[in-house]
Amino acid sequence: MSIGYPSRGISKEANQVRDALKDVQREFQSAVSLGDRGVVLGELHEVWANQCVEGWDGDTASPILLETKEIADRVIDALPSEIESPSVSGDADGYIVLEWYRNSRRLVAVSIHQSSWLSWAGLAGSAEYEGRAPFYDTLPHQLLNVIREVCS
Amino acid sequence: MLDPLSIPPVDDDEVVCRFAFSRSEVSENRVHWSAFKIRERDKGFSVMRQREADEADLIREGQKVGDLRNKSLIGWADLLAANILALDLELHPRLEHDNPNHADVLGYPDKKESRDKLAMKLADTAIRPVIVRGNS
Repeated sequence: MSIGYPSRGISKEANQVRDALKDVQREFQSAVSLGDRGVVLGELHEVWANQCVEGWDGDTASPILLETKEIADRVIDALPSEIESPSVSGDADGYIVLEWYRNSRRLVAVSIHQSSWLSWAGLAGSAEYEGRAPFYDTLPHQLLNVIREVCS
Repeated sequence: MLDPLSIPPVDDDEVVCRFAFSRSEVSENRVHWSAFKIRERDKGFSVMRQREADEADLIREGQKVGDLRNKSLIGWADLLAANILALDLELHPRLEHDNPNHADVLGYPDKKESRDKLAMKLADTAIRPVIVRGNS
């Protein structure tokens, strides 16, 4: 699928429109090529857009900061391709939460904070997991093992 | 409803409910752990004892809580008191907003990941979700 745009502009404004359309096309193609991950990144953006102001819950919820959203972007990017995509939500303390849910006894949730720390908790049958670690563009092995255990 | 002048301690076999104001917390077939996720500043959460209360009492009191937050009551999750206590939590009856059936669940740990895991375990022990017709 492609988006058509004029190949030759006749004014500065026309060139700006052409460039803007190119940007849209680039983003669209990027999302398509990412497939499932592109959908999750779209969900992440939507969560952030809806929860980036204080009191977004009609009460006293903290906003999700742009910095937190950008870290979450990178966490999603860092997921190995064989791991299915998580659901995305935000919480009232300003965390973004990525979750893999099979049932109430088989799930793991990763909370992402603006400080770049990840904290996670999960259940997998009789096993229980929790941990925290800083995120430097690579996901901690312990966390990946829990996600794999839950999704297996 | 309980007598506000003589509120008894919570027995192990009592059923208490956690009100939900979001469809992501309770639905027809599941109680999600977010129903028991609490703010970092909080030490626990509120429940309503079902002892000497009928469904109309639960809906009325739940909607009163919702009104304070400008939200509609979606439903609630039923929990057995013994299952809450088994997770090293405490259950303290307390008269709140003229509700003698109110109780506080206290004793959440400090670490976020421990709190989240506890919320997951509570959701796993929930007896059932109840949806309020017309509000969901």
